[in-house]
Amino acid sequence: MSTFTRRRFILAMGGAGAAFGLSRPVPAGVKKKARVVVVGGGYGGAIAAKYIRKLDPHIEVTLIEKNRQFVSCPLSNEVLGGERDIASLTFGYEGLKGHGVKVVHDEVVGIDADKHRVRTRGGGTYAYDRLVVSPGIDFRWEAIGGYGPEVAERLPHAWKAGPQTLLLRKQITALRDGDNVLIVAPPNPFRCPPGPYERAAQIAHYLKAHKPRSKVIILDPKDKFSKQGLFTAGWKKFYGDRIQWIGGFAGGKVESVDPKKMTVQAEVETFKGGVINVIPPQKAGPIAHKAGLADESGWCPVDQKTFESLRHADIHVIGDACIAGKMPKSGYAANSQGKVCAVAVVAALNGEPVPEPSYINTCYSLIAPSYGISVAAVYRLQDGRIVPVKGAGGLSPAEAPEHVRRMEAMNARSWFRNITSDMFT
Amino acid sequence: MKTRLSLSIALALGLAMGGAQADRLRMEVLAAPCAGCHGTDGASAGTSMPTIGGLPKEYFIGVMQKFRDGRRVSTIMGRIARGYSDEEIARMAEYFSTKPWKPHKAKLDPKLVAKGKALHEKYCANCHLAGGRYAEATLPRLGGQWPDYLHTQLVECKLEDRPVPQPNLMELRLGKLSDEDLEALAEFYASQH
Ligand SMILES: Cc1cc2nc3c(=O)[nH]c(=O)nc-3n(C[C@H](O)[C@H](O)[C@H](O)COP(=O)(O)OP(=O)(O)OC[C@H]3O[C@@H](n4cnc5c(N)ncnc54)[C@H](O)[C@@H]3O)c2cc1C
Ligand code: HEC
Ligand code: HEC
Repeated sequence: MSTFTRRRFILAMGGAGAAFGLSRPVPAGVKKKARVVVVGGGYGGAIAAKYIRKLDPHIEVTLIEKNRQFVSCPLSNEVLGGERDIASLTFGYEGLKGHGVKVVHDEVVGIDADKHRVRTRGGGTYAYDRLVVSPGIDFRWEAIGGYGPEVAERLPHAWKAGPQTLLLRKQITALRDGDNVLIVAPPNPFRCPPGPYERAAQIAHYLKAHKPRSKVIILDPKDKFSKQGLFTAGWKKFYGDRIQWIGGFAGGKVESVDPKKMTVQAEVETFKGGVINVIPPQKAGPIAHKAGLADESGWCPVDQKTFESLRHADIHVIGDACIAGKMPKSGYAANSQGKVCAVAVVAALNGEPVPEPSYINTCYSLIAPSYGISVAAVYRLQDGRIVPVKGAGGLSPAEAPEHVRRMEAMNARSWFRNITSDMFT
Repeated sequence: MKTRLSLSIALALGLAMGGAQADRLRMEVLAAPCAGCHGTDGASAGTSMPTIGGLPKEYFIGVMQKFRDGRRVSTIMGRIARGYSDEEIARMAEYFSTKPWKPHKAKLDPKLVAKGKALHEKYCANCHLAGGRYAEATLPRLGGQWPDYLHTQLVECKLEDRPVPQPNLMELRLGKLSDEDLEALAEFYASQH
C-alpha cells in the first residue's frame, strides 16, 4: 500500500523525475554506485544481470540464485526420449562472474519493498536501488485431488528440470511393455505451451523402439493447444496411433490421481497408467507471492514497457512469473524480457528516457530427432500492452520438404547453444 | 525549491551527456533480442545459426529485406524479418556491423579443408577474396563462419524453387559441384579465421 502512496506523491509533485519514471532521482554530482539485485539465475534473471553490466559497468549487480548449477528445461524432453544427457543441460555461473556480476548462492526468503532490501535463508541482507525478480513458477498442488509435493516423487511433474526429469526417465525405461504413459497437461497459462506435446513425441520416440505395445495418452483440460496441426501431423507420421490426445471437450480434465492404484480420474473416465506424469496448474514462484508481487490470478502484473511491478515501485518482474501481454511463458520470452528490463533499469538509474521496447519469441519443438517445427513472433508495445507485430511471425509451414524439418531440428539445438551462451558466457 | 532546481539541472545535464548512452540503449533494445538465436553481439555459438556480428552493413540490409519479401528462402528469418521496418533494419545493420567478427570454435577435418581449398581457388576465389575472409558492401564474409550453416546454405543454393540470392556466376559454378564438394567448401571457409 505504501508504494501506491509514494507513487501518487511523486506523480503529484510532477516534475522531470516522474516523467522519466525515475522514482528515486540521484542528486547531481554525487555519482553513487547504483546497486541492482537480481533474484533467480534462470532464463530471465541471468540475462538481466549480464545485460545490465554490459550496458553500464558502473552499476553493481548481485545475482542471488539458490542452486549452484542451473539445469535447463528446454531440451529436457530429449532426456526423456533418451537422445540427450542431462549434463548437456547443466550450467555454472562462472561466466556471469566474468561480467562482474556478484553471484550469491542462497535463497531469497523476504523482500522489504519499503526499505529496498532482500533477505536470504542464509541470513544475508542485500540492499538495492532496483530489484529484478525472475523466480519462474510454482505449482498449484491443491488443484488436483490426491496430488502434492510428496506424491510428485511417485508421479513426477518434471516441469522443473533436474532430479524430476531423471526420475521420469527412469520410470519410462522401467515401464512394462503394453502399459501406458499418462501425461496430465495443465490449463492456460503455463510454462512452455508446446512442452507437453513435445514431451509426448519424445516419449513415443522411446516407446516405439523399446516398448512397442505401449502408448502415450495426454489428458488435457484444454480444447486446443499450441502448434496443434503441426504436432498432430508429426505424431501421426512418426508414431501412428501411439499418441492419443483427449481434450477438454472429450472429458480430458483431470480431477484427481490415486498413486497407489496408479489411476487418474478424469471428468468422464478413469485411466490406468504404468507411468503418470502430472504437470499441475501453475502460478508465479513462491517469492513473488510472499513479496506481494502477484495478483489474484497468481501471476505478477507489470508495466509492460519496463517490467516494473504495478504493486511495488523499483521492483521488476520478468520471465514466467510476470504477465507480459501476448507473450507466452517461454525461455526465449524470458530472455527477451530480461533485455527490455535491463535497458529500462539502466535508463532509470541514469535518468534517461526508456526507449521504445521490442521483443522476440521463438519456440522450437522436436517431434523426432531430425524433425523440428517452430512458432515465432516479434512483439511491440501498443497501448501499454505487448502485442505481436501483424504480418510477422507464425508457424512452420504445414507442408514442407524433409530437409526443412531437418534444418529446423538442427536449428532447435543451435538455438539452445546460443541462448545458453547468451546467459552463461 | 532548491532541490527541485538542482534536480532539473541534473536531469538536463544528464540528458545532454547521456545522448550517446540513450542512443546506445535504443539500439540495444532493438537488436539484443536477436542474440537468443545468433549469440551475444551476433557471435554465434553454433552450429547452424550464422554469426552476424561484423557483417557489412549493406549486405545485412539487403539480406533482411530479401528475407522479408521472400527473395531469400529461410526456415525462420522470413517470419522474424517481417516484424521490422526499413529504418529499424538499418539501425540493426549499424549495430551488428560495428561488432567484432568472432570466428566459430568448431573442430574441422583437415582433409576436407584441403579439398575445399582447391575447389575454392578454382571456382570461388575471384569473388570471395582472401579465402572468404574479405567482406565489403554486398559481399558477405565466409571465413570463420560456422561450417554447418555454410553447408546448409550451399545446399539450398542448388535447390530449385528455393530462392537464395547469388550472382549468376556463383550459381553456374555451384551447379558443377557435388554435395561432398559443398561440404568441403564449407569446411574450408570455416577454417579461414
Ligand atoms: C519440459 C520443458 C521444455 C521447455 N522447452 C522450452 C523451449 O524449447 N523453448 C523455450 O523458449 N522455453 C522452453 N521451456 C520454458 C522455459 O523453461 C521457461 O519459460 C523459462 O525457464 C522461464 O525463465 P524464468 O527466468 O522465468 O524461470 P527459470 O528459468 O525457471 O529460472 C528461475 C530461477 O530462479 C531461482 N529461484 C526461484 N526462487 C528463488 C529464490 N527465492 N531465491 C533464489 N533463487 C530462486 C530458481 O532456482 C531458478 O534457477 C520449457 C519448459 C519445460 C518445462
Ligand atoms: C529463432 C532463431 C532466430 C532468430 C530469433 C533470429 N535469427 Fe537470424 N537467422 C536464423 C537462421 C536459422 C538463419 C539462417 C536462415 C534461416 O533458415 O532462417 C538466420 C540468418 C540470418 C542472417 C543471414 C546471415 C548471412 O550470413 O547471410 C541475418 C543477417 C540474420 N539472421 C539477422 C537476424 C536479426 C537481425 C535478428 C533479430 C531481429 C535475427 N536474425 C533473429 C535464426 C534466427
Ligand atoms: C560472381 C561472384 C561470386 C562467385 C564466383 C561466388 N560467389 Fe558466393 N556470393 C557472392 C555474393 C555477391 C554473395 C551475396 C549474395 C546476396 O545475398 O546478395 C554470395 C554469397 C555466398 C554465400 C552465402 C553466405 C551467407 O552468409 O549466407 C555462400 C555460402 C557463398 N557465396 C559461397 C560461394 C562458393 C562456395 C562459391 C564457389 C563455388 C561462390 N560463392 C562463388 C559472390 C560470388
